[in-house]
Amino acid sequence: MDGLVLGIDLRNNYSEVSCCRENMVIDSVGTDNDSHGLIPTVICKKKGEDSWYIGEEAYRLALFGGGTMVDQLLKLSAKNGFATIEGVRYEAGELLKIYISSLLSLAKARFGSDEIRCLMFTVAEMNAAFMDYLVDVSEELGIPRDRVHIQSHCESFVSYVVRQQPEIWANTASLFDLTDEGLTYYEMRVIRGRKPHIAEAVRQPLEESFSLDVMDTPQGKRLADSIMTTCAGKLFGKKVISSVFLTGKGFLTWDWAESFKRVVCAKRRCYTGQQLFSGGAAYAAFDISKNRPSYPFICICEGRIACTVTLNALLDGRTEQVVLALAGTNWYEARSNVDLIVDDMDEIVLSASSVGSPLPQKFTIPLGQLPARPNRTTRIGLSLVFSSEKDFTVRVIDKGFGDLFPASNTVIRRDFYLMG
Amino acid sequence: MGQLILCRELPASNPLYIEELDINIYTAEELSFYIFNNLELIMGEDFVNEKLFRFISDELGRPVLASKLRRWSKNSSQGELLLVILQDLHYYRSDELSGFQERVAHVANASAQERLRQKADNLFSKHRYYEAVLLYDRLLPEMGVEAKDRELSGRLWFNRGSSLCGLFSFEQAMQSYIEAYQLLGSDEVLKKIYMVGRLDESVKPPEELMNRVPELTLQKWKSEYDSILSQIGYEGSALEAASLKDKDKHRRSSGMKELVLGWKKEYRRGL
Repeated sequence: MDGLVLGIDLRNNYSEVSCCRENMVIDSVGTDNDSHGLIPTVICKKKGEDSWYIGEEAYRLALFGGGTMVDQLLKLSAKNGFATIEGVRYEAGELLKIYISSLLSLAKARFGSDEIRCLMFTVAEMNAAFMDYLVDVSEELGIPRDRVHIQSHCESFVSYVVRQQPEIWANTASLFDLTDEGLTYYEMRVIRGRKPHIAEAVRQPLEESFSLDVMDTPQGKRLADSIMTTCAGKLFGKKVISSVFLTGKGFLTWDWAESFKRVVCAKRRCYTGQQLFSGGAAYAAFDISKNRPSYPFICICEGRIACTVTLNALLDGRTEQVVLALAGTNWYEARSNVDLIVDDMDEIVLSASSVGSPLPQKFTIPLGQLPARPNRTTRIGLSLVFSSEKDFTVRVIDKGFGDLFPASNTVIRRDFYLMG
Repeated sequence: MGQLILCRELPASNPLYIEELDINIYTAEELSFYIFNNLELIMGEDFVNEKLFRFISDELGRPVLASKLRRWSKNSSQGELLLVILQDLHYYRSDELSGFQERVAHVANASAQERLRQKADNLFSKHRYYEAVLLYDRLLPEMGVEAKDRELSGRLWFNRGSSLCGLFSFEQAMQSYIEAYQLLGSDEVLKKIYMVGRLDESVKPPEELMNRVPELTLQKWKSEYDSILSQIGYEGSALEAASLKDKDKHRRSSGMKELVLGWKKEYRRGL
């Protein structure tokens, strides 16, 4: 294999690394002593040395007083926090960079390759600032920007499921993710009436979450089982569910969930295991690295744009619909730039149509600020970027008309929100 | 109803230089605009040549059009080739192209003198004053003495005077306006003579001509000139320069430099 194709599931308490091999087999990567590929998101600096340890090794070193440990790295980064170790102040970002670097080193050592062909991070929530940070860190670690991608857990779930046998996702596929941080339910279905197929997925954090510590006692286990059973009953309702996936630290074993087991396994396939999100991310990275999807589909879920944004323009004398953002594109990577000539127009109208909705949403950008010139002598650059799956910004810049009418560089900016 | 035109290609990295206007053409849209609006400048000149074909092929990414033009250039007129370019670039609508076709026919059928006059006027309107003066100087000796030619000569002298004003040659401009007045005898020319006298105090308008202007009209021209003079600091380039005062030291300095360079370029363009 020329270069590694990796999926990294970054969480606040633990992370997972998966590698997709050429034959589409997913291998997990972990430290020696971690359980089931779960690598605690902690970092420890060895006393008096510039050596850093992550995961279980970090815990062990800190436990025996050999170093200072910092945990909750994602939360610390999100609030731009810092940690003081041996009198030195370390920014959270710096620590996270060391952590990610160590994760990559583990993968490189395991598979004997120094090159990263494609890296897909997967995170629970797509936060723009954090995503920018991940891309920057990767670049600093020597991975070119175009090889680094980020997708939501929801999308990683879809990526994982659609690479399994079709019977598994013939109808709805469900996922329970039970961790120290809470209980989250995911659901996906594939709409087959269109080409390519549309995979729709939703993520639903559940209020009924509980601390995994309760399962230390028989009463706690019974309580957890009862909570999970109620949730499953409520969530499944009368839906036709083909498969149920159970992941997260809470499902490392599930002997505590007898009653829940009966509900989820009733006339459907049920799978428990880890590396679901990192595995899904690795599958997605593999497709990107090959530049062709193994199973082509449009994914509509958290982190993906639900609408196709277009504008009408003349191309070679014919009116064409110019696609600025395609439904199902990862919002972080959805950006477009087009140059247009304004022909007797006071405003630009963009249209956004969601999959299955007949009525498009209209967005207007007034052009009144542009300098007055003869008709058709104003070239504008229109750029569109998303700041979340619903929010996008359009910038229109006056580029003039060559030497005939020099550019004023006037910029018109409008922020829009996609409904539905 | 308005529309947007999608630009297919990025601006050329090796633009097409247009010597007549001292400008570069970077895009298919600019090329279309230049051809459409400068037909009188282009017709009869060596514009549709290998340099243009290469630009269309390599820079605009339209090798098919370029090879079509190369093939047809042997048997087609310049006007036909220009029309083919405009049709292929789709910047102008079909009704506009019909109008262009008529203009091509008109220019092609015009006499050499008429074509030269159109070219001179076109250069004048593009602030290419020096070249315009050269063409007016070529045209004027050829003018006849009939009434029709007298009026045309008057117009040519008038435009020559205005071109010379653009070159700040007020003394020669005054001479041209006087010639124009002798042929046209209009107040419009007298007004120009008065204005040139005000612009350059060393160039005195002939007293006998000024005596012909009623006192009231003279007062009107005077206040008009004074009003222009007082307004001139608050519009156009002056306003652009004034806005730089609010910038910080470095931006003001670089802004001024850029502005003056722009003015110099504009002035040189007129030469």
